[in-house]
Amino acid sequence: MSIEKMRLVNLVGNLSDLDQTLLRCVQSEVFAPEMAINTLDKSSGFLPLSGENPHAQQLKQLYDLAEDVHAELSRAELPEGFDCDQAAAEIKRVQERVQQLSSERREKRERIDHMEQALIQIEHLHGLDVKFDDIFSMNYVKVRFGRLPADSYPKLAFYDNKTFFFFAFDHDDAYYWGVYFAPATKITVIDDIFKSLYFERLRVPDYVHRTPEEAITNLNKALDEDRKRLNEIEAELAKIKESEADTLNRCFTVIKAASDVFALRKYVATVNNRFYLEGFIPVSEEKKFQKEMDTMDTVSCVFQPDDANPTLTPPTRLKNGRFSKPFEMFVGMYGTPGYRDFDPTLLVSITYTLIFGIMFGDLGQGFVIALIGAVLAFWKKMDFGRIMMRLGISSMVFGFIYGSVFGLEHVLDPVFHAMGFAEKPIEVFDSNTTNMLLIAAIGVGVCSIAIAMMINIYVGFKYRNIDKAVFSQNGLAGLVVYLGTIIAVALLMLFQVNVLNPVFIVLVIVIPLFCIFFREPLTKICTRHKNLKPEDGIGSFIMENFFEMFEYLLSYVSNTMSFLRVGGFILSHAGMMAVVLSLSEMMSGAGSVVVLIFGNIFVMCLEGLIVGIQVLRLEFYEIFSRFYSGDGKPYEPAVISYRPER
Amino acid sequence: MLSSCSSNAILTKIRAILGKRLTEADYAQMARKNDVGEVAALLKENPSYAAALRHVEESQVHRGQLEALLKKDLFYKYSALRRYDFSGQDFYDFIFKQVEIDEIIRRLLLLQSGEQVDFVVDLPSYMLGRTSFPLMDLARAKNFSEILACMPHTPYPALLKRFEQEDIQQVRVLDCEHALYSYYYQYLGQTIRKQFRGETRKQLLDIIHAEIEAQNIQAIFRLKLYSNYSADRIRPYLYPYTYKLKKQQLDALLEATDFDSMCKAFLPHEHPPVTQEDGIESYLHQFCYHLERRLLRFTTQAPVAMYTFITLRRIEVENIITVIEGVRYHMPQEEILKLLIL
Repeated sequence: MSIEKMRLVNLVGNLSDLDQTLLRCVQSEVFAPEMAINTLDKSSGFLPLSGENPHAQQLKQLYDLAEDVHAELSRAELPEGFDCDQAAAEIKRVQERVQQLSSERREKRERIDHMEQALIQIEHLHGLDVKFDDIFSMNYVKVRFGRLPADSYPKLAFYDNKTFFFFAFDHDDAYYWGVYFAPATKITVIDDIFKSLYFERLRVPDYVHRTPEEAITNLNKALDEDRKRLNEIEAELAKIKESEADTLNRCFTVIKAASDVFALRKYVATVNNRFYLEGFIPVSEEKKFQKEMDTMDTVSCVFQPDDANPTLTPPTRLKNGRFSKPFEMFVGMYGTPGYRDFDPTLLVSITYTLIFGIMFGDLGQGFVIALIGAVLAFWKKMDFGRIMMRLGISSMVFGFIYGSVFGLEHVLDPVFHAMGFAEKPIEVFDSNTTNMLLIAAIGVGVCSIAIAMMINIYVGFKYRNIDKAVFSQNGLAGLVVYLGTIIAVALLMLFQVNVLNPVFIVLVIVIPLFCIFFREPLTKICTRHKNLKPEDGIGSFIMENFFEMFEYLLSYVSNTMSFLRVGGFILSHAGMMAVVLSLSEMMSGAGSVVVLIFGNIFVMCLEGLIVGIQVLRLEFYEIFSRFYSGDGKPYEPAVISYRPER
Repeated sequence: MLSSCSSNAILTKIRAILGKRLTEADYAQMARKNDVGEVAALLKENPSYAAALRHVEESQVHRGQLEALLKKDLFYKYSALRRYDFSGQDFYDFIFKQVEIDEIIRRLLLLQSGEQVDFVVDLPSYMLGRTSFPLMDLARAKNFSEILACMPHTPYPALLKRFEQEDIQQVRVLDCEHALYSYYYQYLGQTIRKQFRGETRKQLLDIIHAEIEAQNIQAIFRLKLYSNYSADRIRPYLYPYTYKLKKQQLDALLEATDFDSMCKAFLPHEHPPVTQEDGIESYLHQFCYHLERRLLRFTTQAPVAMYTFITLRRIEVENIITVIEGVRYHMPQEEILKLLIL
């Protein structure tokens, strides 16, 4: 539960050693580079390193080649001495094999595409009861078949004075399908007009001689032949893919590495044939990185404290235990913690797991969620799967306490009897239990909010921010008012003990509220600021703070009440399962089992999702908003990306 | 009550559409394509444009056609949103006024250039029958007096009459454009002041003044650097509205003699690098784009959301058109991306 400490690394060396240095940095997998040129004094002559990536073209060729043979590129083991030159030669060799087939395939596809378009268009000419031969044999009148965009159709009215006729056979909301006739002497002008209106001409193939119906038959025949040849080409390319996949992957591995390493040059600054590179590494990786760099005598590698360069913000690398590690995903959704901030991952992992279990307590359904989570975690390597495993187990624990298994509320009764209980520990539908559940939910809320406030106070003191730590609504003053009031109300309602005497009211409520109201001038006094007068005048200050104070008090109540949903969902879950069971009882035989199974699946999907979102909402709005800003910079070390896409 | 519901509906719909807007990665992917057809195919896969381009045949599509379809889609989106407005406010008609003015200017320019391309070709046919005068009559007009005659009962003839010349080549289109847009901004300001109060009025006036200010600055740069106009000659072409620019800054800008000193006169201390090679337009567009994007994100007023949405969507369409142009002329991906307003 912490943020890993960083070291600032400065690397300086001769330009001739740059490529090797960058390669070491990438191989170390821990070096997060910074834009050196932005932090250096430009008057000292430092310049950014320019130059086009020499591997970009080869990489493009490789991607094109992989696309041509439908291969997915991935990292491969490299034989000894396999370098970029050899890779280029291999690419050229495979390209020669593929090129002819690929261009033939492209031609075939274009032809098929064209014929399919022609087919669609001719199908729209069904209304034409004239043979194509008769139309095309006219000497003084030229004819053009095709389609005109519907937008262009009304524009034809503009050309009333031109000598052409357009007949539409058919139309939909996008096109008018038809033919235009124009005198042979004017056809060039008329063609230009239609072209400017985006008329798409249908080139009626030479072999189409008769009526549109017969033309369609002929086109279908030609299409079949072309599709057959296309399939043959695809089969040949598939064979090439099979035989050359390893070669392509080897080329990809070597060229991608060279290209990605070259791309790191943008972080480098140069002066007098020397390069300068800086970046952060985690303190725990210092020795490993040092060892990597020690092999290069001419490159100086200097480790400095993380705050050595005040213009640079160290990146944040979260360090969490096995249990809370997957929950970094949720924290990341809100924003990466600042380098010197508090990492809330452990808090999230505990509260999220606990509240989810309470709200979605069912031994059977929890088991299914944990099982699905395990599959996603171990098979698909998904972090969310790991979260589901934890949530599922929590749901099982609370399901056991509620005595609920797939909505069956009394299946576990014999187990409880054997354990010496008269009945299950918590009967959700008991009216006394309902009240207790709602009060407990409020208790969970109070604890969560109080913890969030305490963290805010800790962070405030850490940064020496008196306003945040002491006078804010989430600072010491806010905590005293909030907890003091809650404790007083709880004592009065649960134990009939009234502590609300004048001393308590003044100390616990009035003084802290006064501090919150006058937080601005009080902070100024504490920080020895001279001008205590509010910037916008006293009237505005009082008005503003009066409404803010009102909002704070209201939010203490509403935020606490927000946790009522925790208790509400326990009841809603039990209620929904009761409906499923009632429906199941209304059916008989296999129908009953089917309803029970699908009912459980429905409740798991719907409620699981809703509870998951609600808990996240509680985390983000009621807890995070009190202390967490999430404006840190994620730690992204330079690595070679072997992802198959461009 | 109904008006507030409609306002919420418009806001929600706009945010839903914006959720599907193109990202930098989408533009980068488009810029990598080899021809217009491939760009069209990619756009067809995008949920925001799939419906508009569903009939497009990638292998045959023309750049102009694609542009027209994108612009039509923008108008249809506007119409769809307008259906949720029950306030009856004619502020939302700004889009028609803008099209009318743009078409009049386009007609004048085409007539001056000898009408190499028919005016009707690029006429937005989805606007036919919706404007305050028949656009087809404008298309048929062959001189200045015919242009004025085709739009009776509109304010335009009165605005343009003083620029009438028998020979179309003698007409100063810049003056016509200034007169028409002066009217447009005045109309927009009056409508906003009449129909809205409080935050809505303030936000709308802010954004419109920011746009006008950007136009003014752009005009000063162009007239000064390309036409060598003096400060006194430029002043009549400026619209009398400002956003952040103070009078002293404006005067300094007008008196400045070269690009760098002009930039120095009005740009804030910390600003992204602006070079003469890239021009000031890019900076101004970015400035307005970010301003409107921020406003749209935080506003709760439907008219503000609608206005900024139309502008942002128009910029998105312009970005797509830039990418299409770049792809067509085989520009490198990085060069294309540099030209986009992001």
